[in-house]
Amino acid sequence: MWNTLIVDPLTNALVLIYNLLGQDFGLAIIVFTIVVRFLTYPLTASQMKSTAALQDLQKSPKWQEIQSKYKDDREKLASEQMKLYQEMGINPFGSCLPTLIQFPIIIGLYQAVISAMAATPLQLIDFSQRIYDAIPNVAGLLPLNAHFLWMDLSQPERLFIPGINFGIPVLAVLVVVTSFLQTKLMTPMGTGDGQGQATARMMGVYMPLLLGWLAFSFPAGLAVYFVASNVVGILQYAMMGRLDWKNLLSRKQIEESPSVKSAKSNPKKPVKASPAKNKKTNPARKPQKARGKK
Amino acid sequence: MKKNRILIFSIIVGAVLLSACSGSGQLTASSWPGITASEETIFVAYGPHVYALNAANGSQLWQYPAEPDNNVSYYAAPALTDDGSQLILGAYDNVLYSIDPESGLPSGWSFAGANSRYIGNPLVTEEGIFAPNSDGHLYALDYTGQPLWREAYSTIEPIWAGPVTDNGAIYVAALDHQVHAIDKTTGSLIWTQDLETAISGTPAIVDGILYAGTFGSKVFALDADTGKILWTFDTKDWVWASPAVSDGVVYIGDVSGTFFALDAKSGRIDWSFTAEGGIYGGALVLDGKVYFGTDTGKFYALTTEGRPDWFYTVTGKIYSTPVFNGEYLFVAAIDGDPLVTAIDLNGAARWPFSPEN
Repeated sequence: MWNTLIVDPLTNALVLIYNLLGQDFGLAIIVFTIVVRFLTYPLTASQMKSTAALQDLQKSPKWQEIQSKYKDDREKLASEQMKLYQEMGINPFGSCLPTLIQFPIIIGLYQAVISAMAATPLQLIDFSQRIYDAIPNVAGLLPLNAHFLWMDLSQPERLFIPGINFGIPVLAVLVVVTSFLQTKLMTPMGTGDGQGQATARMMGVYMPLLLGWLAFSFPAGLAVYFVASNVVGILQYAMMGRLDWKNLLSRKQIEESPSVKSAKSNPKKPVKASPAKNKKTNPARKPQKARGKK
Repeated sequence: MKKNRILIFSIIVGAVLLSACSGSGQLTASSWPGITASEETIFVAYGPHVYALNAANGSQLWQYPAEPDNNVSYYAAPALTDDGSQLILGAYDNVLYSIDPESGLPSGWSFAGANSRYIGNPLVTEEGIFAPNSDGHLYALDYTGQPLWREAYSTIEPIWAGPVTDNGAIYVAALDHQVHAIDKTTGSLIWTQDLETAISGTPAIVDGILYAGTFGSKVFALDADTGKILWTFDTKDWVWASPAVSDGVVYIGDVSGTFFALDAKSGRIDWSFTAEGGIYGGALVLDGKVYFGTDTGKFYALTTEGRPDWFYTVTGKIYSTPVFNGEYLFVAAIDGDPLVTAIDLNGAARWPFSPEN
């Protein structure tokens, strides 16, 4: 089921693109990523919308009110928050769907890349059985050219420079940097409740590290997908006019002076709530408490 | 908060799934058993071990290594030196090992000059050991593990097929779509011939003609002296198998399950037989019968006229070429149990062998 619905179509798409693009697997992965990003664009757009709606909601007086009202009763607070979501027609999980949908693609792509790179006889048999009859002359394409720039896409990537006796994981670094950039540029800081904020910030650090670790240990083909996906993602946000470059700078200010973050970190959007209420929403010790807990 | 927990949970699950899929061949096999028979002993390379079995009853004589190393697998058919003193093993840790076939203990040397896995079977002749590697090289060594050639013969793609020889040259077919004829003493190229698609089955050489099947659904016959294509035959599907040649007939199966008997001189079809399941392994021809297995576990005995004589069904998939020790046929299967079945020439199973771990 998994193979029929995910891995086989991904493998065939890659081979088809590979064949069309002069038999370059790296280029095939990049074009494939652009296609996937394009196809999941409606999801990305709705993620942006629901994130924006959530932010607006979290800045609304009603939200601030229940925050302060139920600050000692977390269960009640959660149920009141849910009520608000429902009233406003916001799906609080909507913003994580595009991230979640990445996972079947990442796992499927990993399997497709491994399958297409076929380093062993059984992998090649498996690959040959996945390929649809409609794709012409697959036998003539084999073995697929796994070389892209300096990389062997079927192996974890390392760049060897004369004079340095170890390989530099360039792609893994690129994955960390682009993932970090994407998270920073996408997620406006300084809004939301303290714990959510802390978790989001934690995700902003751990997610790039996790992807970087995957890129470090798994075939370079996967890392190429991560980098391409991040770059295309950033470009999409840029085209939607959603990029907030100030977020890149804002982190330091938040770390140094949490109490002023709501005012400084998101100057683009005027803060509707009064400074007093805002202070209540984001008290300095709350994120620290959350961080301590983790 | 709940949302983020779900997200973090999904990421962890995703990472675990991804890691689980990366078993790099330890948990699941990445090739099929390589099997070699001497009169009294059967050597089977499969996964973390090479097993030596008593051919008469299937009892295990030894396993190498005694304790499995999860990073090393063995699939290439072990090769005995002519004097019977060494058993040559190609491994997935890029090393070619020499062990004592009596004891299963290291015999003093190993060769670590390759950069990738040994998938194809090594060939041992009087002149030395010829070992194909996935790094695209054919390594030639003497019986002490020292290189015979100034440098290994190099192709641009992995070599999964075993080399073959007649008196003059070493012939090796690679995934680079080429057959290469190489000078046995110097390692220099004599000729190459492009067969359009990759070749993974070991070619056969008989009476100055080299036969090879390709992924492009073709069987080729080449003049071994010049590399000139003498004839081609179109099969129904990809050919993984090695051709078997006997009495002027080439026997070979394709993955559609069609088994062909072709005239060795002209390439004209004598007969074909439709088997149940795809054919990946080569055939064995003995005394007017031809034997082969399929990926549905059927092991067929046909007469050389193409009539089915008997078949035996094993649990699992047969990808390996069967071997014969003068008494029994030995059939190895994967994804099933037993690993090896000894079958007599009447189609009766004599013993099964399943590894203990």
